[in-house]
Amino acid sequence: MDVTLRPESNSIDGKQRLTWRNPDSVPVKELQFHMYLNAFKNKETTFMKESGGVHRGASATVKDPWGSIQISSMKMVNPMDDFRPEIPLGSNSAEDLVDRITFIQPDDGNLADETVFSIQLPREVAPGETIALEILFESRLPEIVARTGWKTADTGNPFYFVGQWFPKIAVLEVPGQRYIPEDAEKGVWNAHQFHVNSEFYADFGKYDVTMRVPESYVVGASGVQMETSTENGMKAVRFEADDVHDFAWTASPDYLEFNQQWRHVNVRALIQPAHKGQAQRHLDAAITALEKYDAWVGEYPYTSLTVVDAIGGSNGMEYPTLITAGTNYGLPTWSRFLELVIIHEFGHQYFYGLLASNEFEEAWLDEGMNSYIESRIMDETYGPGAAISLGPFKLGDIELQRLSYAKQRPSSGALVTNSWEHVGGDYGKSTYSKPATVMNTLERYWGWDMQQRFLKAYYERWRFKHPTTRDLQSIAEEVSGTDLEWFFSQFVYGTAVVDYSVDSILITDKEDDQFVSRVRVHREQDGVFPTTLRLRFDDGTTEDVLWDGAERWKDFRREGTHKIVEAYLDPDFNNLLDVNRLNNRKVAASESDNSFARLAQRRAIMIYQTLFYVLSGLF
Amino acid sequence: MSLYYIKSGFESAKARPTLTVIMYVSNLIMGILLSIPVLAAFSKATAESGYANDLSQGFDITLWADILENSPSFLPTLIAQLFWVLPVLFVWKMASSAGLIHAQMKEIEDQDGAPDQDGTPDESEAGAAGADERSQRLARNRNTTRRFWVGLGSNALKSTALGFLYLVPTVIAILIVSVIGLVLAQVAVGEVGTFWVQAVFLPLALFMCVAFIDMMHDFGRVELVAGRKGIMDSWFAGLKWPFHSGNANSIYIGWMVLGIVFLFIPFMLDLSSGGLFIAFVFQQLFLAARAFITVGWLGSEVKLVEDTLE
Repeated sequence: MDVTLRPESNSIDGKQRLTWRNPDSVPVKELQFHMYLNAFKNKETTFMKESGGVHRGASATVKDPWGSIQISSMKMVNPMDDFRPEIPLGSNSAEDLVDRITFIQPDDGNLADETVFSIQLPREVAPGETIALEILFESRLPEIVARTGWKTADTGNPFYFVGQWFPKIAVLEVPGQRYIPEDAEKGVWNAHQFHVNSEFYADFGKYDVTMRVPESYVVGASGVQMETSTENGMKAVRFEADDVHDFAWTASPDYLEFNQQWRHVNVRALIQPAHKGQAQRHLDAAITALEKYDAWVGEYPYTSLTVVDAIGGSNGMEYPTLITAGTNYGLPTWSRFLELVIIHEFGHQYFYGLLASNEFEEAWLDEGMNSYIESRIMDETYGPGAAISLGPFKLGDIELQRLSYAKQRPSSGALVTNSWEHVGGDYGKSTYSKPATVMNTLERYWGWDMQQRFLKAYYERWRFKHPTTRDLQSIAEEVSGTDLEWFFSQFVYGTAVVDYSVDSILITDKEDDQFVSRVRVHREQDGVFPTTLRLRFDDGTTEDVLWDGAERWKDFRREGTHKIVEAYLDPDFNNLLDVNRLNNRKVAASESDNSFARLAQRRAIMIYQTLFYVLSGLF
Repeated sequence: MSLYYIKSGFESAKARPTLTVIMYVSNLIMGILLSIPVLAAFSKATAESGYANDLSQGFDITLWADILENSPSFLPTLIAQLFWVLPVLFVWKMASSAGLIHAQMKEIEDQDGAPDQDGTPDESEAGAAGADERSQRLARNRNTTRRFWVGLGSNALKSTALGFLYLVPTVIAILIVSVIGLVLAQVAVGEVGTFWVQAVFLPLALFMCVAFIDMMHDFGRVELVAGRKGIMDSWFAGLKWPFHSGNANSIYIGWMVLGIVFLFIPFMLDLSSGGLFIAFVFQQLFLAARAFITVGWLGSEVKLVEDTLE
């Protein structure tokens, strides 16, 4: 592509040469494309209807925030010819295909939505044949609400984050790929409209993009910077990105640039001037993520990683070799949400970037697996209080993930659900926090060694191949040699909720100083998970019993000279899916302990006393 | 000179330990009353859970979330308590301050059936028949206590009315600070400007405003009780004090700094070893000292007003 940014109109003129090879075993005449900037075209688009114009708290602030993308010409060209952006496409005598473009709405039938189009080619593309299309397009960037567009920075200078910005070909899924049966007659285009609750899915390719921007702008983009030249106040910056499925870029005159080398990777941070003091935090977090992923999942194959300190709604997003973070002026070091976001966004390089699952249909394979490893990296790197560490108040990442699942209607929202079909806030829970909790529980169930083998095998086997949930389950079963259907059917495909409790401890005296102790445990919900019951006797000895967790109620009876004084289900807290840990444990009445309540009361008294003095100053 | 008044307030509080006890105990009783729902909820949730020891060791958000979920009325109860606590606190502050002033002011006439010029007991109460020092001290405390309650009883209503009047400058000050904040927000745009305006300027400005008006209120109340002025006259007189007396400012700031330090220490103790019985005892010592500061603070202000009136 050769594109020019026009700051005066916040738009991009571009010429694109798309080279596409038919991967199917039958001829193909139809192509499908994403035109995602049209999501911001008016109030009637699917995205606008779903979002109400608000995305992650960001909304438009100007009178004309709209964005769109338009193709003015599309022609088939000889794929062997050189791409010559300076030659007008009109000079090519081939048929202009623009009139053949038909917008389609595969997800919701909203005719006002123009984010996906289909085009019938003048001729069929033979199996394995490569064709080339040259496309002239104009992208009118929206004010940034959801990830992409323009914004005026605090400095008064323009800021651009350019994502989902060009006509991008969809994925033709061929028989045997993902859920297309092996014996299907032909492949099927997998294209989805732009939704508020979904990210993206595209095929791998090689991008060679020259961006022309005003000379003072600093440019960051997917891939590796190849060359730069300047002419008439404009700068042409060329980037190449191999084996990626998207290309995004950013430009601003404000960026401060920081670089650090990690093995084969040049880590580049583009930082807003107000956040200059946090530049090293950006680099350190990115390198931490690189190291952990390298050790736990597999090698990062690219040679560049750009961390962008973007603005507003463009933050917290991933693109191939390019991620956006997000921080605030004065962010204290006890709050590690900056690190958390960077580690999370970097993780997408694997699950979104290299494995490239379909985020419309199985978002959890990206966001969820990534959230799981993010929580592991955070908690291992920063220790207790990885996310927040303020005095005695410490919050770890996995604790946050678990709470976000366990205390937010845990019985609704299966992991495998079309992203745009989630209701009532389930998207965030079922895509991020629940899968993180599910995977963390799986790790604790079979151990970190097995989990690492599973992660490495999954990455090794499926990178660049768009794996599905079924593929992930197969790898897990293959590596462990166990049937995990019980686990996946309940917690991945289903919405089973785990809650075990100790109902009672009953002691009956018998003759000769003998006692009968009976512990009753209870499966309170539909989820079944094997668990350990630890019994403690009055002489201090303990006994661990494995319970398969299947029965609704189960009594454990012990007879002897010592009474059971405590029953504790899952004492090592291996099952993070148990939504109520408080009821996992019970002591006999003889060991009832009010010390914590008294301690809490003492603290409350002191806090109230202090508060009264402070309030007295107000009166 | 202001040191003289601070020292004088200190001596006054030292001579009247009963006042410190009253302030400390009333504060403690309120704290205990409000903490009952905490004890009840946590006792129910944790006594037989087996987690009491774990929860005492440190913060565990997992268990806390379960406790709050299992006690859905806990937080609403804590919030609902504010509806009666805040008015009670307001009235008690107004009334008790009047009592503290009355108990520490110089006697102009023996209308309370009390004592001599410096607040010590008269001959009859000290025990004319040569009572020992202990009985003199007891008599002095009895007298101080009586003067506190007499002052409270005879000035509580007026003091409360005066307190309501000071809501007027408080609201005006808050409005002024808000307007300045809004203007600054227009000038100091962007993330950095917003940070300095919202996280630095506004809290500091509000704190200073509240402190400034609290100082006016203090002196207005002393004028009301010790100066025996009417409510409106006291209100106006209080408004003027910060502007015409450097000593008034110095005394207020001096005691305020001490007050903040003595509130900060228990709070820090709570962060490091909160709830442990020994820590609680130390916290109470500092809070008792904080009650002493309240008494001394007003004692200094009474002394300054009385000297000025003379």
